[in-house]
Amino acid sequence: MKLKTTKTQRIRRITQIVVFILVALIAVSKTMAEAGVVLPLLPNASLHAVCPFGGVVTIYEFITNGTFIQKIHSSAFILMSLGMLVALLFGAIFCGYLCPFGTFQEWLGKLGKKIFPNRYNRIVPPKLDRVLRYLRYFVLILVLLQTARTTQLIFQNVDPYYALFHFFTSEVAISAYIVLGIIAVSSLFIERPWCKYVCPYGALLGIFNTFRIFKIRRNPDSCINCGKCNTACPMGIQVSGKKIIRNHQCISCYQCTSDSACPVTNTVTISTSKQKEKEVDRV
Amino acid sequence: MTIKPQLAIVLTLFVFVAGIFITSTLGLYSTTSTKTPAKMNIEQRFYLETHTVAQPQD
Repeated sequence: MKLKTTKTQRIRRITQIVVFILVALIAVSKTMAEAGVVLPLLPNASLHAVCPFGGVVTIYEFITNGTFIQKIHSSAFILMSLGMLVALLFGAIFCGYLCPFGTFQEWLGKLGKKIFPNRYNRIVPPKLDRVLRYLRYFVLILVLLQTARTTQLIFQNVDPYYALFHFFTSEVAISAYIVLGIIAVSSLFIERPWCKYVCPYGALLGIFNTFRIFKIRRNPDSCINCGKCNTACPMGIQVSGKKIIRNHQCISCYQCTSDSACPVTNTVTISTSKQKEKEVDRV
Repeated sequence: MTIKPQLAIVLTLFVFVAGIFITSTLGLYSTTSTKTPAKMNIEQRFYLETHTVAQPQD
């Protein structure tokens, strides 16, 4: 079922492209600055400096010693705080709109849909898929514990995001290239595999979905159960089966709220509390 | 209160972009802000203990 592009989707695509280019420029700019060529765009910034997950992994070190682990800057700590503030309002919207690695997987996914239309998103059995979606919490705990124990940025050794934007440098560990390769190939068959199964930052932000202030709500009285919202969701959440979307996998992309995914206006909305029944305009 | 997705997106984008540029302006990307961890592993501690020159006592 192909859905037409709406205003929200267009804004999302533009945002994703802009952020992807910005992060790529930061990576190139930093590498060139180290080589003696200073570009005007944030020459001191590194990927670690603009990654909010860097702030998360250094929390223990900050609380116990008042310092940050190596390679992590106070900017990452500030961006982490801003990320949590935004997540409190809108859930994991960082994943849906800003994360360049999520964007990278989506682009590969579009390619995969064209090359393997019959296999796309049908490779992982549903039961296994449900279990694997909790794997990222294990990864989050493991990363936090290991970072606290070693006071080193150990996640960098397996971080595909770092490998993607620093593939041209010698700083990337072989293991990170391997993870990047696995995720890139998997993205051709599964929509956002890193986000669904592994991403520790997505796991953390996903927790905010349970108590975020602006929740995605479905009005069951006006819903015609067409199931288009389920098809539109990149994370495979069954929106049509819930009144309030509290799923920890929701990336707040708001595809389900768009006109193309929901033909009945004011049925899937973003709101603070349940709205009083309104007369629904059927399109 | 119901909001449009566009508002959520614009607000999020504004917060992050402002965050990046404000931290940049404040110089929080500088490598000097990266501190060596206070904790030392066994090898580091052993190295310091065996290579520290005793200071003369008054």
